[in-house]
Amino acid sequence: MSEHDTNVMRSPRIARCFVRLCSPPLYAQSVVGDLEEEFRRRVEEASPSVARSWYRVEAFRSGLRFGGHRAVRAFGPNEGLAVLAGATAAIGLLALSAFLGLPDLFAGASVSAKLLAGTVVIFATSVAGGLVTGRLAHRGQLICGVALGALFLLFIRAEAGVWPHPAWSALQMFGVVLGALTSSRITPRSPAT
Amino acid sequence: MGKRVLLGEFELLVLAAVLRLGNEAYGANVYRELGEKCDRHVSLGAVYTTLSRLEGKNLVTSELGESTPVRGGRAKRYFTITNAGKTAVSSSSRALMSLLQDTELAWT
Repeated sequence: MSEHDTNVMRSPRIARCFVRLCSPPLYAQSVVGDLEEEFRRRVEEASPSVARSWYRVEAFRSGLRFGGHRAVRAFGPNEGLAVLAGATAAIGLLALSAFLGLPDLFAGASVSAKLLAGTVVIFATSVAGGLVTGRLAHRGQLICGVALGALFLLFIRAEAGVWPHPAWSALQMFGVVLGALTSSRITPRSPAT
Repeated sequence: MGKRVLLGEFELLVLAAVLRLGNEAYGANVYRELGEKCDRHVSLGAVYTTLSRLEGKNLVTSELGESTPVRGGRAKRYFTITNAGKTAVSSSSRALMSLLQDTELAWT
């Protein structure tokens, strides 16, 4: 079997990592194994490209499903926490939309107005992120969440180009930790399944 | 008398599939069974979240089995229906049949 054939027989790596990260730890090995088994069956019955497309869609659907299930388990019994996380995220997103979508609004704004808007955006989104990850994440997911959050902030800073100060990073970290601590103090964490 | 367990429609289908598959009830087989026999093309994630919920209700138990090369060396997790699970399937099916009795959808 050539190297090309071997590569074709492999399931898509990113989709595999995604579904493994999203799966409950107890079932992760079995879920990835089941997907692999079904993938190979489809390679033989249909074609490698069909099987790879199926795998990507299936990994995405399953990942969303596991994420939704975990969110319901984490926030379902505690409406107050869900409302707090939702409200904080909404404030952050609204401020972010205003900041990015209406540049004219801030073009003539004073430095203090820009500072205030930047503070609201960073702090509210960080607290919301902390509230959510504090309830949902475990091990690798937490690392991925923090990495994605950092990338997102870099993107926002590059887009807006107005907050290069390291103080924002400290504020962001403080917000995430505050959110995570708040969520764990309000209710104990649910089991990993 | 024990507390009666209420089953959702999809939970009932998954439990029935586990019962039907017997010793071969693991995720991929349940997924295929639902697609082939019930025309329910759900995601594998939906199957596992339902099995997890059923395990939480003590209607199924699970244990890791052997790993095979076709699965990239990953083990299967086999599910077994408990007596409480069998009772739940039986009472849910009976309730449905008694509701449909004497209607145009009744079957013999």
